[in-house]
Amino acid sequence: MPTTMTPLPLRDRLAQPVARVPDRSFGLIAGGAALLAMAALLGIAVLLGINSADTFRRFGVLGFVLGTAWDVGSLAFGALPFIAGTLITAGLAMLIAVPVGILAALYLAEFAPRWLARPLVMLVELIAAIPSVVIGLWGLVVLTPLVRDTVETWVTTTFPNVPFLAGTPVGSDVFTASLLLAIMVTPTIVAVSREVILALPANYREAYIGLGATRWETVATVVLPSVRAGILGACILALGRAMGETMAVTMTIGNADRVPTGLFDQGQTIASKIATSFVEASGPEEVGALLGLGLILMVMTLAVGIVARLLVGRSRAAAAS
Amino acid sequence: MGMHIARFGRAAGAAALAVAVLSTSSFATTTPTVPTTDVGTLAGIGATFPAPLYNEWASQFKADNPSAIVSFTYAANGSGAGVTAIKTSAADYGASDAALSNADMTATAGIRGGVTNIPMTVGGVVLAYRLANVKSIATGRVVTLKLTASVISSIYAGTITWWDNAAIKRINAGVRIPHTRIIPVRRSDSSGTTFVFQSYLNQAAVWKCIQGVAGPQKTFNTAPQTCLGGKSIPGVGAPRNAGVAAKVASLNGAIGYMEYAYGVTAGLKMARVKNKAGIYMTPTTSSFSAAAAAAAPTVPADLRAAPIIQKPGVTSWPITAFSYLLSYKDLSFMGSTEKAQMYVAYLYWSLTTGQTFARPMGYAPLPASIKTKALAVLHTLQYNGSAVWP
Repeated sequence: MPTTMTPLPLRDRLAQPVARVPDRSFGLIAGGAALLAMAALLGIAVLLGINSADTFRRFGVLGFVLGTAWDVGSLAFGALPFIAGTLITAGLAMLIAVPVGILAALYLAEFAPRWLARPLVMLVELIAAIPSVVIGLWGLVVLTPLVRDTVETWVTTTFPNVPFLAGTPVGSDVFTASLLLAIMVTPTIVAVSREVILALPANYREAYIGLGATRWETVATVVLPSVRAGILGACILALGRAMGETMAVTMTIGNADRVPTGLFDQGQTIASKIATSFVEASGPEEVGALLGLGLILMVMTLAVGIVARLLVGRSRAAAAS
Repeated sequence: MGMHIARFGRAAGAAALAVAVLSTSSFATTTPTVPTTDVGTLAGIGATFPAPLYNEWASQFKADNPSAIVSFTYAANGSGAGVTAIKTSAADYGASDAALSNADMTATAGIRGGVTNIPMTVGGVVLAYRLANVKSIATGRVVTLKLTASVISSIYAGTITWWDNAAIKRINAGVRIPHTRIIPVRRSDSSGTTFVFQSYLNQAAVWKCIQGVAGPQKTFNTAPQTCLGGKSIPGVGAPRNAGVAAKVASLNGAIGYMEYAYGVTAGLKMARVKNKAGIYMTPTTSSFSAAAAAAAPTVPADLRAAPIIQKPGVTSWPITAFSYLLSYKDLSFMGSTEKAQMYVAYLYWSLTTGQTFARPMGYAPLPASIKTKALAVLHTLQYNGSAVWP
């Protein structure tokens, strides 16, 4: 007695409790994952806060942030040299990487012939995937002597009395570290900006070109303004990476715990200081101060993220209006 | 690292072995028992400076005692890590280039019966440099530069900045020195080698001022200094001994301090440094031995000696140090008498036969009197209230 099985309509199937189990469990798992990410952030902040509390109590928050000495012998710890090092290297890196990155992205998206664009894009993405320790090694072995013997020697002999440019060309300094950071973050800007530009509907451009605009006019008046928010996002992503980069900076910055006095002076970023000092920290005071540095870096990167959100939001609103 | 040096000195090691056996036989009438049961793992954490030697000891001890069933691990995480491990009971033993400070002795007094500092070997800190075209005016041959404590401390304080400085030329008469900037290289991480080197710099007034009442440290203070008129010490930092050696090798005009073996491995020129007797010494393991022998009579009863700086003797190297093993006095925590016996047997072997492996690897064997005292410490190690090696 064969019975014909007619499948239930979809709505009825979903009404059955059994069918909703995968839905519910998936929702729970996904929610758990989201919570875990949040818990990790909170956990790190709390751990850094608790362990560096003594440092902040001893020097005061401002006293620690603005302190310039890092002397293990007299247990005097100040974060300013490292905050300055982080801001200067990341800032210089962005100064180089942002224009280069945006121009490269425009070329790849708008101007390059397809046969050239494809391998170039692949190359750029490959650079972004190189581990930073490998880039650091290259920076140490190749870039450092190269920069010292070319740019630094020329600049220091040509402008021996210009502040911020004078000094001994050593190669391991703020300038080389910034240059290396720029090389590391440019692919991020290129890749993300290019995606954003390509995502722009083609009829925008077509309409403008149809009106008789040149390629350049189209880019300047249509493409760039429309993708402003996306490019800003790309730059912020790059800035975050530059501020937190550890190995490559540690290997090239020259590791001196002071506010750099010039472009060719040695310095230290928060990340490189923690990397060089934590393993053999001399005692609980230094460990606490290093964790305090970690907390400051975390706050700095979070602040960059939040400012970026706000800027992107405003830029979107401006573009929409 | 030690491998390279080991090639040169096997024969010397064998010769020293014979000497070592003769000199210890007068003291040790019995040797500690090497148990034959499986005792598991003996784990140490500490200094990178003697790590190659410790690893060599572990494998040679097992080769010498085929019946011993034990595995050795040594985590070369640095002297600081060794002290931390001892304080937190994280290892069977620790190792450090400096003996425990008074504060650390107090802090560890209640842990596993307290800690005793056993000197295991002697190492030298050398000044390696890279400078092209340093040649004898007479013969045109490449020569090794001579340096003094005062010149070295001025270089590291930034008051001598060119290689052809008058003070350097004066002690290197007859040598053509190029007009090249000096780039001092220092350790960027916290390091026992830095501690030893800063102890050496401490002889100079300016360095006494920079270091302040706290004295030599494992890191340099690179912030601006009132002692230097608001300037900061010059130069670049590099991580670990190998990093300093690589940095010096890559920069013309660079000078760096490092453990002897690393300078040899990197093939760097090592400056001849004036010792207390006024002789410009070429660094060799025998010059470290001579310094250690000169320091031996001043080593205190608990063996916690300061770095061996500027000791008398015409063949003494001026920047030398003992490297210490930090051992608990009460080994009951090891959980079996056999493991404690294996540990003591291993230390005994390292202090006697093991000393012959020091020289081929770039270290110096302990002076006889220090070795005797170190062996005496082994007799005091206890397991459940009785001596492991009575």
